Amino acid sequence: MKVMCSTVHVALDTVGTAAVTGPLASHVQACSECARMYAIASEYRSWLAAMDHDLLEAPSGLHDEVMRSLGPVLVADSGQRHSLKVPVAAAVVATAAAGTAVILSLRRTRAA
Amino acid sequence: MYRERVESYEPHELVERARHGDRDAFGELVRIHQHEVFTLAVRLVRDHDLAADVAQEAFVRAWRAMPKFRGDAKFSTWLHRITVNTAWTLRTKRNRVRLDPLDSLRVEPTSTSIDPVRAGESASAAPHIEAALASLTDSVRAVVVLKDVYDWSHSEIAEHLDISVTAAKVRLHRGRKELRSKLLGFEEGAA
Repeated sequence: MKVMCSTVHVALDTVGTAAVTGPLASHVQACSECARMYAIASEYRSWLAAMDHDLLEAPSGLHDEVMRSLGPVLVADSGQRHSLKVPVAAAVVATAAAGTAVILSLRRTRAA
Repeated sequence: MYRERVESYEPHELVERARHGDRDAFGELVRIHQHEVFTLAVRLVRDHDLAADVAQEAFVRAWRAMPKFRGDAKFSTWLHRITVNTAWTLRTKRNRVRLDPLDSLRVEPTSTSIDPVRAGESASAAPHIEAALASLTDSVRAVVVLKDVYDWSHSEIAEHLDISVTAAKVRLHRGRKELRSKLLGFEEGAA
């Protein structure tokens, strides 16, 4: 009895009433204590789920406070992501080319 | 005081205009979503003043992040995530908010706001469930609220509360067990 009862309770606290099927459901029907637990779990879970539909009234000044607090915003791009990869790669290539040109120039000067 | 949820009017156009820096459009989004953001904040921090600060800060953060909003999720879902992050940040900053007496924090639904179906099923249970939920610790209640009210996944909860998935599952189990136990106590006390 105790093992089945604790299994039912754990199932109710982890998965919920949906987990009480098969032998667990049969046990709940036969055990008054588990039937009570099942009813309580079912009740508070459905009550909590329904809470999503109830809203509290926000403070009347919230909207104005928010609008006063807004700073500047970066304007969204039009979907194209700007990346530094291309400019950085171009700079690296240009630097390497310039370096090569300098080295070649120095070698020619020495050879002459 | 509860108000009935109106279906979120979330026109793509408003969001798009806000993404491009239109304050009026964002102001309209604030007007539409302020009650749900405030409600979520109250459920997480249980302090109306702090919840108002959380809501305000969440909208300011949303405004700053608007250009990054790509529409992968609904705007309201995105806003909820920002609210949870903000609530947790402000709560931590204030070094764990002093919990006020339950009676001053418990939000009693008005008689007209209760869903008639629910009211018919268990009108007397509602205050007990509210009280039981309010008595949970912040960290446990947040997990229960995000899972059982807002239907977040364990991984979403873990990510936004900065805890492991296992910790989220453990807190959920603990919270539900405590709720069940407290409600059983109420029931036995009433009998």
